[in-house]
Amino acid sequence: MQKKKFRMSKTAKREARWFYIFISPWLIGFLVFTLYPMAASAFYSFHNYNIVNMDYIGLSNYMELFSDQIFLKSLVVTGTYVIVSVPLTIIAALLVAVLLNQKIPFVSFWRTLYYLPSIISGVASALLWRWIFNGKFGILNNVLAIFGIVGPDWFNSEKWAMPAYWIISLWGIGGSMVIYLAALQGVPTALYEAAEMDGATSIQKFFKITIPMISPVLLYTLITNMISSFQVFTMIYVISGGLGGPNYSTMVYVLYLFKNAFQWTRFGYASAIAWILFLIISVLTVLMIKAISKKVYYVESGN
Amino acid sequence: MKPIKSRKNKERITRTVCTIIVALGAFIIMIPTFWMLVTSVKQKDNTQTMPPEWLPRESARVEVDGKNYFLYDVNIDGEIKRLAAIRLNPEKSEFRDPDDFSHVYYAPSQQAKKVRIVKFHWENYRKIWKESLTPFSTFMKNTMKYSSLAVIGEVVSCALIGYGFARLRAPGKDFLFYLVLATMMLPWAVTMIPNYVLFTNHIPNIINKIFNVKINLTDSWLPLIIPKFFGSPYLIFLVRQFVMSIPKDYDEAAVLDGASYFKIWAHVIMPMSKPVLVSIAILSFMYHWNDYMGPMIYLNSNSKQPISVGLANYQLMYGGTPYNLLMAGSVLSIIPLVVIFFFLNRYFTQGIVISGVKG
Repeated sequence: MQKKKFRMSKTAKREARWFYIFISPWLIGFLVFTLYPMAASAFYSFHNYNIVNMDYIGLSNYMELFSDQIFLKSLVVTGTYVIVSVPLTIIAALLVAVLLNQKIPFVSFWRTLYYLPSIISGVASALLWRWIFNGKFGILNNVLAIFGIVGPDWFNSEKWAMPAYWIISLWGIGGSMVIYLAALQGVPTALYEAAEMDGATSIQKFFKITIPMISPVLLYTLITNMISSFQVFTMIYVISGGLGGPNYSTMVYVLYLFKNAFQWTRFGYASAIAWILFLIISVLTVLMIKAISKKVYYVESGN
Repeated sequence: MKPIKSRKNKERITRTVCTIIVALGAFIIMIPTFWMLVTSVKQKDNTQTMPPEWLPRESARVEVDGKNYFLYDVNIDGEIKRLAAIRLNPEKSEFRDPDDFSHVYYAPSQQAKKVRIVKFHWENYRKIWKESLTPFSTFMKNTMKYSSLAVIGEVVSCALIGYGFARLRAPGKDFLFYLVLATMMLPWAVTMIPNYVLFTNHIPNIINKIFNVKINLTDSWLPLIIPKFFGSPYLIFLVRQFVMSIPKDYDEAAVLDGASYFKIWAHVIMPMSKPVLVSIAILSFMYHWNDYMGPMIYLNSNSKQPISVGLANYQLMYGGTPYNLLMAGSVLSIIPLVVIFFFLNRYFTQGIVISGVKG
């Protein structure tokens, strides 16, 4: 990094002017569609607001949240989903990436197959999973029946609806898998050869070389998966018909936020819910970076 | 040191085991997609069967004089004949030859076996494409329009912004770039409500005050498309990373020739950035093609909805039982994505990789 010059030359001024011209769309967009909305949502959260009327009510919305049983339940449901599905998908994606990084035949064909489900997302996959997890005619329970297991009526069961979503999250490992594959290919083979000389086992090599070498991307996927899992919505909205049932067992955080805002027009209350989410995600992101970045190994990059 | 031969053997075994696990996993991961395809060409009565039919198999029928009969393979005096069932009875069932209907056979029903054939009901696709309440062709057109406009907006804006962050020096740039990275982590749920109020309330009010023109942004695509022309942090980041990897000699030569930054961007950097532009176009297209919440919030009329909302509404309307039609609709909705995926496979993963490895 160059030291700042106190007086900019004419060409430097011209360059700076052009910099701001080039990034002006982002700057305007950031101010209008990000910064202002954040401030506005903080402002709304202290009001009773339904687009037509706005009354200042102080911290009432936040106070109400602490005694709102559905909100508290949505915190637990979403928190559990994040705690289960994030490690589950990361481990599965890493496992598949390691396997696909071996010298096996048709490797690019396998990679395509494993990535394919990631592009089938959204409503189409929601309908598909609803059909597969159908208690009576779904193929999952029929396959389980072959092994003598009587499957539950997944989405109609308070106990099994969320676990069904945990399982479904495994289908979308393609994105993380591709990142891990690229990272694995960047690990110098010399390290493995040296370890082999010292008689290291495969498992030792994996934990002592592979994991530390790809730790930056592990941290990256951990954070991005955590953020997107906290905001899981479409799948559950479509499958539960927007209800988050049975008995609020699938009332995830953003679903509750959405219902407050767009069904019950409680914009102030919904904004408070949104800000709590923002705080949770910010704190967790910072904690993760702090806790893990000491152990993350960054390679000096060539450029 | 282990002997070389046993080491090679060990490697071969590991490779075989890996291949088997990979193939098994791939098989399992493809089952849902296969099931979606199979269900989409089944007859409605055949979707809910126990055990499930893994192929679109159904009982064969024959039509004679406007009436439908099931076909049976009947054992008549040791000879198997394919006949139409008129009346089934444990002791004396009545069958007729479908080609010569006056020819009657009698046999106990034990000796008759229903004929099952594989039949693809492609008309499911036609039905959902044309004949549903709002035809899926409308939804597809809407989605195509929304996705392409959003892609144009994001690609053009991110190409400009990404170049600025990658190449041009200015005071405050580092800080602004940290802001870009920070907004990448920002949950969209936080800005969703104020943006909704902004578009449905504030912007029409402001325009009305200044220009004295009444505009209505409820039930409009504009609130979904306009923000796309102001860049998206993640895609800006991808473009920046890519442009930074282009050797600076190219633009320095152009600067010496007296070219403006805009010219350098258009004639030097952009032609070389095609791979990243295709990558971000794909990412953007995929996102908007699947986008559900945005259109659901901003659009009211059914005829304006994209395929995501159309599919979900179709399910709500019909209680989710016509699984064959639902699956046909789902297949239709992912065809554009799959086509792009197979043609531009390379670019698909490239974008994701840039972000993760260098991030």
